[in-house]
Amino acid sequence: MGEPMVVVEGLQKAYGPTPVLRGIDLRVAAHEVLVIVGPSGSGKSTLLRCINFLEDYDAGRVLVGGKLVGKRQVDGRLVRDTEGNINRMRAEIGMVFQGFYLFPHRTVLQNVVLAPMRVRGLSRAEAEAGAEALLRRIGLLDKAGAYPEQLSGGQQQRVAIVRALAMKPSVMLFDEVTSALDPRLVGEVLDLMRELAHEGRTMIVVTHEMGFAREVADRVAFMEHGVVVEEGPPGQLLGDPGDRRTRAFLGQTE
Amino acid sequence: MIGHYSLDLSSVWRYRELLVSGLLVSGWVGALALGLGLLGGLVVGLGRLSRRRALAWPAGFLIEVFRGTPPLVQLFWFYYCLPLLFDVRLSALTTAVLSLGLFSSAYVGEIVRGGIQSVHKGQVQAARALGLSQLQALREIVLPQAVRRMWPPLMSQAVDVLKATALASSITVPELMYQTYNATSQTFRFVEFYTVSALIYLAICLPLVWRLRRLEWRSGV
Repeated sequence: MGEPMVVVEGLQKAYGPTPVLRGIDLRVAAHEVLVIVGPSGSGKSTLLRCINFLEDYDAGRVLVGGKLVGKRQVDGRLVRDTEGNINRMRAEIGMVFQGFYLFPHRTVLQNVVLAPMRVRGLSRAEAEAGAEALLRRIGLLDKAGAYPEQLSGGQQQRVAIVRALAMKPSVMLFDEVTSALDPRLVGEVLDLMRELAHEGRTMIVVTHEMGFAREVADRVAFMEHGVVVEEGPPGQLLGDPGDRRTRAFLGQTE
Repeated sequence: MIGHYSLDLSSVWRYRELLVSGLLVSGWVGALALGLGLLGGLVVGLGRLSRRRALAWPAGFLIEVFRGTPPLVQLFWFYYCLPLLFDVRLSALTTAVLSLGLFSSAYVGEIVRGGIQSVHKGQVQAARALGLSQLQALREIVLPQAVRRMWPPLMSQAVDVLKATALASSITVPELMYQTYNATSQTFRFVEFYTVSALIYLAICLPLVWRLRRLEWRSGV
């Protein structure tokens, strides 16, 4: 493994008395695709939301590109970073959600240019040129002036992916991005993600799509009850898992 | 002739300038109170939603007090008690604007809060995940969506405030209701003046109500 792009060390988080993450250690190299599978409630989504600090955690640390996310070191202790620093780090981490969350009052183009203009400080012309290139690539340039509600779920999710890409993030997080889609629309979203993987983007993908995991992942991690039970190459983890819990989970899904 | 009563609208015509001057004052009080209510309501609504108690509690207090007491009592309290307690001397007109403005802030505050809470949390998360600050997410993502949903209740609040300006007559603000009362005390033409006065209020409020109905229809409320 090369220099890790994402490092998660000893991550712990509880909601009140309920532990959700019980010591997660993960490393993702640059250009690597890590797929995380596991039953619902295993903490996969919470893990992603801790990586870009949408959620704070109780112990452990997260580094992206060698820099701490959400925390800084003061007298040997980790404390919450300034809001400005947190925002700057988040801008380097793209995230796509199960529910798309396109901004309904803005057109497709306005959705994509918002953050590059407001956060990166690009001019409108620069941001629009970048956004149009991305929309052309996914075949939705003709929808640039449309509002999200006029698009199919699959189109909306692809725009959401492109909206994250427009920030040129160093890692992309995908949180069950096909789970809310009509089955016949899942393919177009997975196709786009497959392309991004082949481009060599660093990706962490939480999904229930085992076919996608098998085909696209460089590594697969299985999570249950807030721990990574095992991880390995997709052929091994999905084909011949070492742990009884992984076998039980895969037996249910396939 | 209506029953035994013979109408004499010429008396109203003779007092037309008085009524128009009253109407203008009503318009001023209403517009200023509404402007204050919108500004104050935004502050109060955001304050109430704040995680900081030092903001949330005073905002909540203001909302409960002004929604839980009659606006007429509020008006009298400001008019008679402010000078006695704090040695603050305001004209009747300023008192009316301030009092009705705060009354309206409380209601607008709740409208703002409801509008903001109606925006899905995922919208904020998506904005924050892109690197937008809390303030940017509020300004670019939450408020524009919230304001659309706030329009119908805000229009309804505007109508309420315009009607409530009539209360200012009780603290001698020379608005429409006050001048109507003046005219009747000189002419004893109660039917003519109060009917015409009611029609004037109706003529101002009805277009707003109609517009409101169109908005509600459009937003599917």
